[in-house]
Amino acid sequence: MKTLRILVKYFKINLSSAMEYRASFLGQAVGMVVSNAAFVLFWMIAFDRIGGAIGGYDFRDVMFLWSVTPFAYGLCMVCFENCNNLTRMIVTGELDTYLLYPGRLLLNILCARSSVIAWGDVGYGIILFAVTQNAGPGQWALFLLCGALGAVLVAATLVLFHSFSFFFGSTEVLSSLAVEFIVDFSIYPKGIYPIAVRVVMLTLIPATFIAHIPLELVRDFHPLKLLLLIGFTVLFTAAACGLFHLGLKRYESGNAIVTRL
Amino acid sequence: MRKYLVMLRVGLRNTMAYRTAVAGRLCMYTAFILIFFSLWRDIYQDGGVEGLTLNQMLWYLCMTELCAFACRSNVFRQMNDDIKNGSIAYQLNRPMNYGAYHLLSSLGDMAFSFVVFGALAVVLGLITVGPLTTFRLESVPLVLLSVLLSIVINFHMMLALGLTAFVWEENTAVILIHSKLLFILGVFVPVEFLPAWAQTIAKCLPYSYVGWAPAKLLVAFDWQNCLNLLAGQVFWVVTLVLLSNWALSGARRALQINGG
Repeated sequence: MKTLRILVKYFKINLSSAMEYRASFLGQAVGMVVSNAAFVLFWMIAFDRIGGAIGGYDFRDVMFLWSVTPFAYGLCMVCFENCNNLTRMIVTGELDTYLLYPGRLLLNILCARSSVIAWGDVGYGIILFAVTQNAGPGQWALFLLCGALGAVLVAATLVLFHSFSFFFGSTEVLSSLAVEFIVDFSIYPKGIYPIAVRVVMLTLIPATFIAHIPLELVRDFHPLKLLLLIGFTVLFTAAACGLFHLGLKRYESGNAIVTRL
Repeated sequence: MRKYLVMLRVGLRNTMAYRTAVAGRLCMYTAFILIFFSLWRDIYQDGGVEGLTLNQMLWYLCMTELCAFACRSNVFRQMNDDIKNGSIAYQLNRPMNYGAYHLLSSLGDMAFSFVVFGALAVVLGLITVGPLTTFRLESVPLVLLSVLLSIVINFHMMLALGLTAFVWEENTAVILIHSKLLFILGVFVPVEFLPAWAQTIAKCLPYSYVGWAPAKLLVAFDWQNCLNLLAGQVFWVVTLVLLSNWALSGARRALQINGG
């Protein structure tokens, strides 16, 4: 409960900070929506030309992937944008400031920054879901729940990859690749990938749990599948946090004087 | 001229110094090609698409990704930084053309990327679908010329877009929309794949001359098409050079520098 209160507090502070520059906030968010919408045009043309299904997915299925993935990724960047900066903070010794904070260390670090442009992703995901899925209240609830779990999974994956920096030096490039792979594996039909890639999508890069299982749930709800999704999210997140705290024991202070505005 | 050559050399050295970043980009390029290969292989299960075979389509993608993404310059971000942190004041005072300075310092990086990513593209093409079945040796110099023109077109579009930082305090959305238009209008699919109305629009915009033109010359070469595409590219190079220079001189006049 305390964790949730901190999360909400950070969210409010970050949002009000973004709203200080309303024109910029709206410009970026709308730009992101327009930019993402270009892909809808592509898929419309592709399915119109080809007909039938691609990788076992029809147009509505693909649109679901394109709504839940930006929603989850956007929500992660709105709430936990600082997960992108973890490697830099570890390598340069900038974690010192956060070590002095009361409460949960990792939560304080991740929530310290929020991406303004990611609001565009969140808005785009919701609009696309509303326009293409003709969903009832139950499906909406599932979409929002799966999106929230997906956001946690994206953050956990980033924490996992950035935490390798405690052991092997900078893993900035590896972490950037992880983000790219999460998004790419989530937005294309699962059926196009070979078995080896699908195994990766179920483990190290959990794209299957971010987009493909939510699709199966919205199309054909099964409580066990939902439990599997929640269980995997909890375990994966615990593993990522565990690795971070294990690595933290090897952390060396930068003795840097940092001003936080 | 010597100072510009120095900029070219510095750009090249900078790129070669950051080997990990290059390795990351190579991994990203490989991943894109393999994902698109998987997607198109599935699409091609039902036969050919718009007269292109899977072999041609994969080589098409290798070429468009090479021109539009592997060899793109960083000028948008550099200009953004220059304008937002104020270092534009120093840059404009230097005894060289600001646009040419960025072009030459980016060219070193782009030339390096072209060689390295070009080699990777050939390897990926050979591994996934084998040699290009419609390859014509006489097309090679013209394809290389088309690649060069496409890089210049993309650079000047990025330069012009980078100048929007003078007008808007936050212009990230502009570059996002630019990259998606590039992607849709020729990089991911040939322009012929689009509906008739969209083809007309695509052929009137510079975006399709970045990816589609050189890739089309590579996979389906014919002399008539070649002349049309190269003429289109030259037109857009001239137009964009004039446009970006005009915008740059306008921005220079509007620039207010305070303090010391």
